[in-house]
Amino acid sequence: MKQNKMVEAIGGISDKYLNEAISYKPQKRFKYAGWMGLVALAACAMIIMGIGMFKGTNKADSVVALDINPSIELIISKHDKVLSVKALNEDAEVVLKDMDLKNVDLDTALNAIIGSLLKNGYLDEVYNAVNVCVENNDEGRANSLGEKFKAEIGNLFDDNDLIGGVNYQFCSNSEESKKLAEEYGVSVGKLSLAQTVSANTGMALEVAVELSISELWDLLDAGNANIITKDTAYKIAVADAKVEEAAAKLVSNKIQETGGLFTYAIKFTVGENELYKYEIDAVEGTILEREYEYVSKEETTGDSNQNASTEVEKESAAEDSTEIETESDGSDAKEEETKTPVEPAKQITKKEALAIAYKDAGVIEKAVKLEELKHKPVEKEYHIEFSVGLVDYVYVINAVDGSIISKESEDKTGAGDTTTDVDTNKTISADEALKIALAKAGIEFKDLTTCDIKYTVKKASAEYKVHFHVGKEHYEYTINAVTGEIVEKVHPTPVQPVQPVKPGDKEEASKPTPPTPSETPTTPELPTLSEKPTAPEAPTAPAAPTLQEGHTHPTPAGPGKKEDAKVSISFEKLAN
Amino acid sequence: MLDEEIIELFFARSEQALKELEAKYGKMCLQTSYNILGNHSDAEECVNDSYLGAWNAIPPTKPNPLLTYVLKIVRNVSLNRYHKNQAQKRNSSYDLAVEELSELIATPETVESIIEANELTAAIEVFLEMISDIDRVIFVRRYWFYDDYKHIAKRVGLSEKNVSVKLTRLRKQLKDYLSERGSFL
Repeated sequence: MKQNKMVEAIGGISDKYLNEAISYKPQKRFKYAGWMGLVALAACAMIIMGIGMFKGTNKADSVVALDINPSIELIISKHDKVLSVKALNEDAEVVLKDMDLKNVDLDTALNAIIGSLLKNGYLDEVYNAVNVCVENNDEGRANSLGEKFKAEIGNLFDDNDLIGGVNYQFCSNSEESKKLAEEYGVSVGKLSLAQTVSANTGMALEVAVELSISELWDLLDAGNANIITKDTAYKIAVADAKVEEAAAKLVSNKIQETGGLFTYAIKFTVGENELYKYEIDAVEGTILEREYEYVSKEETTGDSNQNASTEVEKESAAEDSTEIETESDGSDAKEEETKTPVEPAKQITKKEALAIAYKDAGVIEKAVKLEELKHKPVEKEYHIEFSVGLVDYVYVINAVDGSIISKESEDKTGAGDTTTDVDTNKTISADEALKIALAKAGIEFKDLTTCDIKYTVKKASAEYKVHFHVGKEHYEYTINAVTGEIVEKVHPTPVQPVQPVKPGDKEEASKPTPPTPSETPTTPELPTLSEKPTAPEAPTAPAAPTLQEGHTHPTPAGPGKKEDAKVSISFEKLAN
Repeated sequence: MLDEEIIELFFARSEQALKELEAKYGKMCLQTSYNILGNHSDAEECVNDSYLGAWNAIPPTKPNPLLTYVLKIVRNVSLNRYHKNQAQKRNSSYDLAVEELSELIATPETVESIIEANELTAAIEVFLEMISDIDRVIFVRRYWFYDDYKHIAKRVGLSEKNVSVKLTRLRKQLKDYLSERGSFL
């Protein structure tokens, strides 16, 4: 009821909100302040030593550090000539490689740096944020330089069709700051920004300095957001995975930002085979995504199938035992007491998801090599990849109701995609297709010189291509395998070169009955195991000549005809 | 063709009006209906029924803008169809959206019983004014149009996860807002 009430209420909102939602386009942004941007470009820290400290046109007047995650420090003269350039981190070394900016005008140097940033992929994102931190005893001089940097970089962005913004920041020039910046491997400007963010948000400084400039500015925009620490995030992940913290081995734990959302991306392993990946909301500490993967060790065992099945069984066993325990407890709340990270309540287990996929694919668990199994609780789905022989399968299963959201399979034997919408139980057989073609042509089987039937299944259709020759005339029919309708016909044309009649088929030549395939070339089942799905078994009807690929049969009873009728059926499955 | 010209065709009782309507807004109507029903053939039927509804209503109605008017018909027709089909399945984007909304009125005996639908609409509109443009668009796309996360993400230029998290927060904000408002309404 309350659902309907909300639906009804939202349904009644003003047209202006609908129009806005219909016409909304993501805004391209360029701004010098505000900083709700996406991707980091840089901090540009300019440290201006007092004019009195340096005299003469070639003396250092200012020190400019550009952080573009690359952090670059420029020392410039009072006439805006670059006196030296220093890479503050590894990214900056890449950007400055082979560049000699000494005694170059600041404008030219900036242009070259921006060009190199572009070339090296540091400016290919949606939104680029630059922070210019100017440090000088003379704040007025620092401010004017800061404004100049903003304008120059802004113009360069415009020229290069980049979206982004530049922010100027005045920084103090204390030895303490320099030392701390060096300790963290960042520029003084970035350190200053990180310190501000740390003070405003409660984020640890060591975490803040890892963020990009735009991320830091986004955090400042967010204002009072409280960011949880890395350790807290890790503990949340480990607790959710229900593993002992001592047994978990941290692989990586990094804070990241996308579109204003800060998250910790955490990876840890348990033992040799289990890899956990978590994404945790850095503000609220909620789990946004969790994945659990088996890391196959086939390269060490040399028997991938056996290994994979063992892993699956191990998982199944674990879940089974848990379920038993749960039952004995009589507590539904503990139903998910497995190592598998599963969204509390209502989502199916991995075992169930695998069973659904295997059943649908028509494969048996022991033959399966499980490649990947991911549970995405936010999206409420399982992503499963496995292979059987040379056929790869990818399934996405709804984690709530177990329905199959999507499935794909690829036959690496070259047979192609085996998924089809065609109901395999409703297709006609090859001999029925042949009869239809012969009836249409007004020809009897006994009159055929050669005959070739190919079965083709595509995503939404299945068809037979029936080729045959009567003497030198070539007939070709394409018949819908479901409806039996003739889709296309070509006849007659001069005969194609006929393969030489095989000698020594006299026995078969004496058989009068036309070939009747005892086994419908059945279609489109998903291939199982490693058997190539394109190879039909030879029919076994004893009275009829067997239909085998390329097998040659006698032409039945054609007066005066001594050529054999070649009846072959080949199957091919085509990709979509 | 301009909306005004299409409406003129409606007024002239020209069937070309429906063709133009379909050509201009058919895709959007179909998507909206599909979001609710999760079934193409049902959605197509509902859209056709909606066109008939528009045909019967115009004239005398002279909607401006035409699109939202037609979309509202589509939404209503599709919701009616949905409730007829409800016994059969519960897996459309609409289902999921409605499920998410169900948590917003936490205390139905104190809020739902007091706030009539139009008052609730007014409260939601106030809430929509309080949030950012992009959040508003995300909210409306999700709970009016019933777009799935993927479509919303593409429309607003964010990741699906980002949209998901934003919606979670928006629902929480709305819930808090409605709770506060419910106390004095």
